[in-house]
Amino acid sequence: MSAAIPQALADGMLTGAIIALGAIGVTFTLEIMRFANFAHSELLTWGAYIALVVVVFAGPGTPTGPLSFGWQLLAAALVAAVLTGLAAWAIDTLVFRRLRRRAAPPLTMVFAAFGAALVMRHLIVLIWGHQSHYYTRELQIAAELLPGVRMLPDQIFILGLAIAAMVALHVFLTRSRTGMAMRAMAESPALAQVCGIEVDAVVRLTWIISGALAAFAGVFTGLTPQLHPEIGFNLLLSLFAAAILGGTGSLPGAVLGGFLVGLAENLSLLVISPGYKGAMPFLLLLAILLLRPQGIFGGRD
Amino acid sequence: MIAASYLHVSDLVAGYVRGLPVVHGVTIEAARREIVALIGPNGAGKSTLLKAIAGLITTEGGHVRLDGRDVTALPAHEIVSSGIAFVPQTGNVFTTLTVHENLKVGAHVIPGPVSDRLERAYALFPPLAARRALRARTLSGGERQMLAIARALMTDPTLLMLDEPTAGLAPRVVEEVFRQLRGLADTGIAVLMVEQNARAALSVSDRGYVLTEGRTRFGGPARSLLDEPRVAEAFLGGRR
Repeated sequence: MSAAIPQALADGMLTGAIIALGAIGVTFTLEIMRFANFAHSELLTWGAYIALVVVVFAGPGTPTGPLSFGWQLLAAALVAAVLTGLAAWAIDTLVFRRLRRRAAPPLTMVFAAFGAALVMRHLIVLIWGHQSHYYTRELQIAAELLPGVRMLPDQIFILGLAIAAMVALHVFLTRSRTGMAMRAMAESPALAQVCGIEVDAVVRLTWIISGALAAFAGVFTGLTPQLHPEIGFNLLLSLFAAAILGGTGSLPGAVLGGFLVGLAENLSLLVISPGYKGAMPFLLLLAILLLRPQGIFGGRD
Repeated sequence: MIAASYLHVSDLVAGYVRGLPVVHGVTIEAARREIVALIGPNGAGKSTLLKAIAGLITTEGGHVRLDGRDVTALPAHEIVSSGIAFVPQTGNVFTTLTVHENLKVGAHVIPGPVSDRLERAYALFPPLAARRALRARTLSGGERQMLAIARALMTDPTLLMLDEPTAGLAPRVVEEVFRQLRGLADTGIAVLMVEQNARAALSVSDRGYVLTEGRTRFGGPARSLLDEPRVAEAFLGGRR
């Protein structure tokens, strides 16, 4: 069994990176919009399917080097990121903002999010059906990175891209004027307003970033190896476990939370049957809520 | 005095919920180089008045003019750009951001680089310079108040409004805050502050207003309010 640990760690890092990308959006909505957006997982699905549309028209491209796809798929992911970001903002305008203006209680927001999630998911089923789709049917040969650790070139690429996206976001949040305004809003919308920060502009940007990262997570999930209407929904609990594990509102927290959930899911496969893998985020969530409810990076005075 | 007035609030009606005003037609003025104190019992609408001027709550009637320009009910960010800065009583620093980041966020509406303004803030409040990389949650009460004021000054305001700037501070720090405000007023800023500590506030102010139940009850030079028997009896804890 111990021989399988390095492989489980590598797989866990990959799953973790994807979960982290999604969890960043969850933590942003929790902190800046102040509600649990259970429709966030559907943004992953939308992103994946928007990229599929582009791929259907443009093709996945001729495989570049060891990868199973060409630049077309990357372009598709970018288009998906932009459109999913705008979709997230549109859904906020249509649903959540109206409720916020009426000072809806948190439970109302949660149920509205569930409603939005159902509509979003079934819209995908309506258009593409329940069956699986593939961006590309190229076969890949796993490379042995370290003794006993095999990863597909696509997976290595995804891991690198996900980490690059998170580093870029971190630089944006800590260095740029707009990023700092977002962090200010996350702590105190009232004081942010006093400082002349336009609350609506920050909210819009938050949705666009959250949606774009969700789309990347969705495309990456769809690439390893297929997409179906539940790819986002299946990750829902992992996303929330990661966001809460890291301490809401913290980007490093969401990233670390994502990796921890990913690793826990994959390491658990060494001792339990894959059928129970889905319970791991539940267990982690329970443990963190009991032991350190403010999360790893959480806690303010 | 009227001709020199810089901030002119006339018959302002404002509150948190439309149709339920807390401020019922307040008229006050403030000139540059002047400290104006708003005093009165709890619930008189003093803080609400500041929030209404800052554009944070609904204004239902009356006008706010700054240097002749009507800024009534503009969005809060435009009011900040017009030269009005506000230091709320509580939650007036971002505890999760560093001192340096707090000041940068304070300059959010200023286009272009703000490094000269940052250096100026540190020169004005040297204790902040030593703590610039620390998160604001680690600051003492006095240092937080300093940071809150420094943050508000980042936009080069011409009107600085403070809601109970000395609440909860040690007497020695209270004196220091008042001394700083005097210095700021002397640079040409109009300072408008709400104070619980009415006697101390009036002694450093040039002018004062007494608010009760959302209306202006008395107004005039701070010295004359201190000497006014009715004000002294009701709001200053007896005659002296």
